[in-house]
Parts: sequence; structure tokens; C-alpha cells
Amino acid sequence: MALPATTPNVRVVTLTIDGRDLSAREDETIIEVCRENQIPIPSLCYLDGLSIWGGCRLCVVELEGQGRLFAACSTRVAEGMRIQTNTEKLQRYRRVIIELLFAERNHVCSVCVSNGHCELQWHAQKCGVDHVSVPYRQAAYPVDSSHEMFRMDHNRCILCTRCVRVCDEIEGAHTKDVMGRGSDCQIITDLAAPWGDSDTCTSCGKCVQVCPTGALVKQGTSAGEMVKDQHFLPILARRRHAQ
Amino acid sequence: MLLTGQDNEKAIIRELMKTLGSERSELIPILLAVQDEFGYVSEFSMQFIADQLKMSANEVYGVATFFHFINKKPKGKFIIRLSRDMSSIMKGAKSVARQLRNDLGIRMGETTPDGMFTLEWTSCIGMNYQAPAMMVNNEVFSNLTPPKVHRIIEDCRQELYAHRPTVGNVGETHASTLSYASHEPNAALNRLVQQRMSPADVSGELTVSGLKGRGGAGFPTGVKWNLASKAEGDVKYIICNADEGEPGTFKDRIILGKYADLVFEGMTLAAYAVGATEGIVYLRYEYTHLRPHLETILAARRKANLLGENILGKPGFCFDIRIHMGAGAYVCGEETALIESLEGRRGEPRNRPPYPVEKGFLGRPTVVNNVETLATASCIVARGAKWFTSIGTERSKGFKLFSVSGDCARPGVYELPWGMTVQQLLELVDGQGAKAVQVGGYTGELVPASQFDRVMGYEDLGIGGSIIVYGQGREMLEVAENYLEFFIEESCGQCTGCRIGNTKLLDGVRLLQKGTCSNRYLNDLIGLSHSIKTTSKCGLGQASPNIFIAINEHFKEEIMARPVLAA
Ligand SMILES: Cc1cc2nc3c(=O)[nH]c(=O)nc-3n(C[C@H](O)[C@H](O)[C@H](O)COP(=O)(O)O)c2cc1C
Ligand code: SF4
Ligand code: SF4
Ligand code: FES
Repeated sequence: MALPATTPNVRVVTLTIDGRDLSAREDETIIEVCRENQIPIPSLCYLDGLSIWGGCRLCVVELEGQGRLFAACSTRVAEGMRIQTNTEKLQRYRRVIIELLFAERNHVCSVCVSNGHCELQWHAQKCGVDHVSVPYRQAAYPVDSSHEMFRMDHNRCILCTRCVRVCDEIEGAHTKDVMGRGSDCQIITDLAAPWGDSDTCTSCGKCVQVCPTGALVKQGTSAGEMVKDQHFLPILARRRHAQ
Repeated sequence: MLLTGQDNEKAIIRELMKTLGSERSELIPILLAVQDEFGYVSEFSMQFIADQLKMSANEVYGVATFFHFINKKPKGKFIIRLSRDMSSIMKGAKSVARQLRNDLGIRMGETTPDGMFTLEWTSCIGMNYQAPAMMVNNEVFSNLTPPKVHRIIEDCRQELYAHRPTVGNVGETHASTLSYASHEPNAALNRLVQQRMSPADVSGELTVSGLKGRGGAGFPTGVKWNLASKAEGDVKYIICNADEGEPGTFKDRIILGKYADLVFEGMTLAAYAVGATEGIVYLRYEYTHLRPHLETILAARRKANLLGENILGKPGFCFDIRIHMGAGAYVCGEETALIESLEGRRGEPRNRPPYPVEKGFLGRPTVVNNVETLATASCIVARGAKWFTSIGTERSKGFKLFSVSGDCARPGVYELPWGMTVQQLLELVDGQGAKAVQVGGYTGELVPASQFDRVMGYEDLGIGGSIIVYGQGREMLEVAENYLEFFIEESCGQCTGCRIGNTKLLDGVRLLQKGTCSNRYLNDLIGLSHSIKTTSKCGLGQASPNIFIAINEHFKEEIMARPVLAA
């Protein structure tokens, strides 16, 4: 859990990001420091207030003197770090990652209730994805509309696990989890049962709000209408953390 | 009182938990035990286990569906798992599969209607030198031929009981494990006690010896032990990584079969060096047949006061070892994924740092070492670092065990000094004239014949020790297809590139096979390969595209020369 703990005796380190000299607390991650300083880093699985997953790999940055890349969301800053966040190489890798996410399942934006309010779509535009260079996987995924208020469309899920984490860490219900392995992974409700049958779900709707795409939506919205609100999260997370 | 089926199930699970414990870290052993009892783990059992361990039922479900060898549905009485590694394929696994399908009348992945047999492919089971090989429940059969499997099926049909006593089929090989064979029993521990070596002396000796981890990553062992000894923690753990899942590797199985004492001695040395009291051997499920043998040796060691309290009369030197079974996941060989699964979670690699030496099992400082690393450490402490550094090359000290399989006359485990060329090794194992050699398992490097003068050592091919020889007739696209199928099967699924990218590379290989992959798309896929390599979290994703890059680099003419097949 990388919730900002306000312990008094953390040291302050200095580092450079894209040539800018900055200082930060040593218990901060690179992405936190970037957000504080308005340095944009694309991210999908990271969400302020939730534990760190480090799976989407969209937030990778270069560290000087290191051959491999590091995920900004799961790497702590250190004294003297020299970080590059937006090189041509990184832009290329990020485009590949977004293309792969589009190709994995079925994202037909024009009929999606999240059209225009989707983080995946937004990143695709920001990162300059002009086409998807690999063939779509075209696998059939179910849509679960059994819940009275919400819907889960697995075709639009990018497996960021935000819904799993918010349900467990903030709501404390742990209705959602991941099953399977590799390309068979899928988000489940209870023991892979229809959502509407769940006796652990409190219908709080937090998973819907944190879902970056149109995978989790409110019933009754139509194309483009689903706007999500995640402002509650950092506040709730800190409150929970302080308990 | 009349017991319903479910009450009975509950009672049995409660009973199992009495012996196994009711900590979350016992989740996977509990699931395996429940499966032994009922043949599979029902949703009802999962719910009950979750309640007992005070976790969510869907978490148990997530864990159960992560591992190959946990059945969510009833399977046959005899589960036949045929190894799908490249050595097996080269030695006729496909014709064996055909025989099995015909005999049983089912396809791969199916169960016979009478519930007797289930037939599946499985990832490498560590029998490559006697390929093809398969497991029938926990028993291993090797050097298979169609007539032989036909007989095995007939035998199974005769015996109606599902669990035959497992035989410790270790298998004789062309092994030349000289240093291990001549190791005087417990010489290292005796030296430690007699010469009053301090913990720092032990890790110091290893640092001087230049021993690097034999699990693949090559981290200096002495440094690792030293870091763990300095790490703060009330309890520390030593884990022996016996998950040996790298296709083409079987050296750890041979070591555990023949020289397990050396491994346990090495763990005890590590415990002394870092101040640990508990050791865990993480044994892959495929090696269940070794477990009784290992338990016997552990018991003998306890009796001889080589484990337990005040080891060899040294006050305060306390350490014991237990065996923890894996449940079928190659990625659990990665040390942080291994620790996750030990804690009863899905075997997904963690974000590092923190490294296990600081925060490992249950957040405590943990040393994870390969089987061979630990056995070699015993030899070094017994004979001194100088003996070890006199072998090998300037930058790669000592010797290494190589698991050799594929197109050569003498497959087996070889103990060899670092610094040999690929060509020299081929001469030794009688595999001259090869087309290419896979050095270091599927995650290693494909070395074409033009580069057989390359040296095996950390200066060049610094590797885990699996050698697969490909003869002239072998098709590199078939090799690439096999590797990528393996990585897709074994990826944990966290990272976008590893989860999806590898499936695209496999599609690309199939296009190449059909002769319909354009040069341009091939270039896109090479770009994709580099993206997967650099953005992935763990070594699996970082190495999975190696084969695709290699066939493009070394065998471009061959792979582009396919005639276009009609669709
Ligand atoms: C995908 C993957 C699989 C691995 N499998 C094994 C294995 O089966 N056995 C092993 O000893 N190390 C394996 N490793 C290496 C371990 O992560 C770790 O580096 C090693 O156990 C450390 O021990 P050593 O220093 O003695 O080599 C694997 C690594 C990765 C990335
Ligand atoms: S449903 Fe939404 S929040 Fe949950 S894993 Fe899928 S994309 Fe992420
Ligand atoms: S590289 Fe592959 S196996 Fe490793 S953590 Fe990522 S998805 Fe999992
Ligand atoms: S945001 Fe960092 S890996 Fe997903």
C-alpha cells in the first residue's frame, strides 16, 4: 500500500525529471511526484487511493543508467535519480500497449456508453494511436446485466483490477476478483456467479466509478452518457487509512 | 445423526486442516489435499475453506483457477499429462498423443465418458533426456512409444484403484556430477562447527568463491546472504527454489534425487549465515514423486541433529526444513511469485523493490536460492573458495550443471566447468552437426551453428543450464510456435505486453507458416517483441519474445521462404 503516510521523519531527496530539478519525499513514487509537478504520465491501473498493481505498464519511464524501464507507479524515488518520462522510445512503447489493449477485447467506441469519457480512449488519443497494427482477437466475452443497477461488459474490460481493489480496500466487500491466468484472466463476481445473485455486493457502485472504460457502467445509460466520478476516492482512502 | 454429503465434506476438510494448519499460507496445500480426497475442489469446498481461513471465497476461486493442477471439475481417475516441451515433440510426443487419443477415444483436454481417463498436454515435466514423457496422476513414465503407452493404458484399465504408490523414478542419465559425488557428507557443516566460522565467514567464503545464483538470474550468492543477514527482521526464511519449470531443465530433479543432503546442508549453511530458523523447499507439483524420498532424508537429518535445535551441538543454531508443494505454474519459479503463492495468493510476480532479502515471505527477510546454488554452496564451504575459483574462467568461477536434451546421442546432466564453447559441449554429448542450440532454456538464447564458438559463462552465455540441441532437419518455426505456446500458457497475465503481445507473436508465427506474413508486418512484430521485453514486469515477459527475435535474426531466409498455403 503506497498511501501517502505522513510520518514525520521521512527524508527529502532531489532528483530530475525531464531535466527539471525537483525535490520529493523519499517515500513517494515517481508517478506521485510527477502528478504534484504537473508532469503528465499516462496510467491505467494506477489510481490514487488504491494499492499499487503495476500491471498495465503504460506508466513506464526511463531511468538514466538502467537498461530496463521502470513503472512510475510502483517505483519509489531515490536521491539523484534522473528520469525521462516522454522520450520517443517511451511514446512508441505506450502506443503498443494501448493498441494491444484495444486488440485484446472488443472496444467498439461508437456504441459504448463511456464514449467520450473513457480513459483508454483518451490515452489512445493523447498517445497518438492512429490505428491498431495487430489483428483483433475477436474472442466472445459475456455481458453480465443481472445486477439491478449496474452492468459488467467483459468485452470492454482491460483487467486493470481497479474494481477489485476498490471493492476490497475501500468498500471492504471483496465481491470482485480475478480468475484464471494469462490471456484467460477474467474479472469475477463471487464464485464466477452472475452479479445480480451476489450476496456480498453492497451495490455501492464504487467499482463502476473507478472503472476506466465502459466495462462497468450504470444500467439505463445510453451511448456516451456514462460519466464517472472518482473524486471520492482519495478522501475515502485517507479516511480509511487513518482508522 | 444423518450426515449429508456436504456435512461430510466439511468434516473431511476440517480434519485436513487440523494437520495442515489453518493459516492462509496453507491455502494451496489445503486445496491440493481436498483434491486428493474428492478428485477436485468444488465451489462448496472453496466457500468452506474461505470461511475457515477468513478470506473471501472468490479469492480462493482466483487462486484455484490460477494453478494447472487444481481441478475445478471432476476429472478422470487417471489423469494423463503428456509433456509438451520441444524435446518431447522432437522425440515423437505427437505420435504418442495420437495413440493415446485413439486408445481412449477422446481428444486432448477431455475425459472419457466412464470417468476413467482424462487426457491433457502439460508444460515440461523435467524428463527431457528420456523424452517423450508423461505423468499418470503423480507417476512419471518416460521414453514413451505408441506401443508402450498402449500397454500403460491397459495396465491402468486393469487396476481400478487410482493411486498406485509413486515410484521415485529419478532416471539414470549420462550424469557426471563429480564434485557432488565426492562431497564428504556434511563436510561443510562440520567445518563450520569445528572451525567456529562466524555467519559472516560463511557468506564471505561464498563471496570470495564468486558463486552466482544458478536459477538463472546469476545474483552473487554470498552478497545475497550477506544482505539478508543485515536486513532487519525477527524471523527470517530460507527458501529452496525447486520449482524447476524452465523447459529442458532437469538438473534440479537429479540433484534432489541423488544429492538431496547437499541441498539441505546448503540451506542449513544459509540459515546460519543469515540467522534464519525456518526453511521451505518449494517443490513443483510435477516432482511429487520425489517427496517421500526427501521427507525420509529430512527425518534422518533431524535424527542426526543436522536439523532441529542446537545443530551439531552448537548452542543457538536452530533450523528446520519443510516441503511445500507447488500446484503447476511456471511463473511461480520467479522468486516473488513463489513467495506470493507460498502466502496463499495467485502466483503473480510482485513489484520490486523491495526485494525478498528485505521483505519476502510474510514481509520477513527471505533468501530464495536455486537447488543447485545451495548444493554448490555446500561443496564450496567444505573445500574452500580457492578450490572453486581454480575451476572455470576469470569472470565465471567454478562449475555448472547442464541439462542436455534434444538431438544428441548422450542426453543427460553434465557437471562442467564454465568456459566451454557450444561446439565443445556438442562434441561431449555427441550432437555434432546441429543446426542450432537453445542455451538456457526457453528464456535463454537460440545459438545458430555459425556461433557455436560462443563461450558458456557469464561473459557471454550466462545461463540457467538447459541445453536443447536442434538437428539439421528441425524447423525453426515449429520451435518458435512451441515456445510461444508455452509462454502464453504460463504468463500470469498482469502485464499488457506479456498477456496479449505473445498471442500476437504466435499468430505471426502461424502466418509465417502459411507463408502469408508480409515483411512489413514482420517488422511490426519485431517492434512488438522489443516492447514486450522492455515493458514487462518479470523475467518471463522480458524473455518470452527472444525466440521470435532470434529466428528473424538467424533464420530469416528459412522463415520467409514458405510457399503460400491456400487458406
Ligand atoms: C519466469 C521465471 C521462472 C523462474 N524459474 C525458476 C526456477 O524454476 N528455479 C529457480 O531456481 N529459479 C527460477 N527463477 C529465478 C528466480 O526468480 C530466482 O532468481 C532464483 O530462484 C534465485 O536463486 P539463485 O540466486 O540461487 O539463482 C525464475 C525466474 C523467472 C523470471
Ligand atoms: S471491469 Fe473496469 S475496473 Fe475492473 S478490471 Fe475491468 S477495466 Fe478495470
Ligand atoms: S511479465 Fe508476464 S509473467 Fe511476468 S509479471 Fe508480467 S504478465 Fe506476469
Ligand atoms: S499505471 Fe503503472 S503499471 Fe499501470
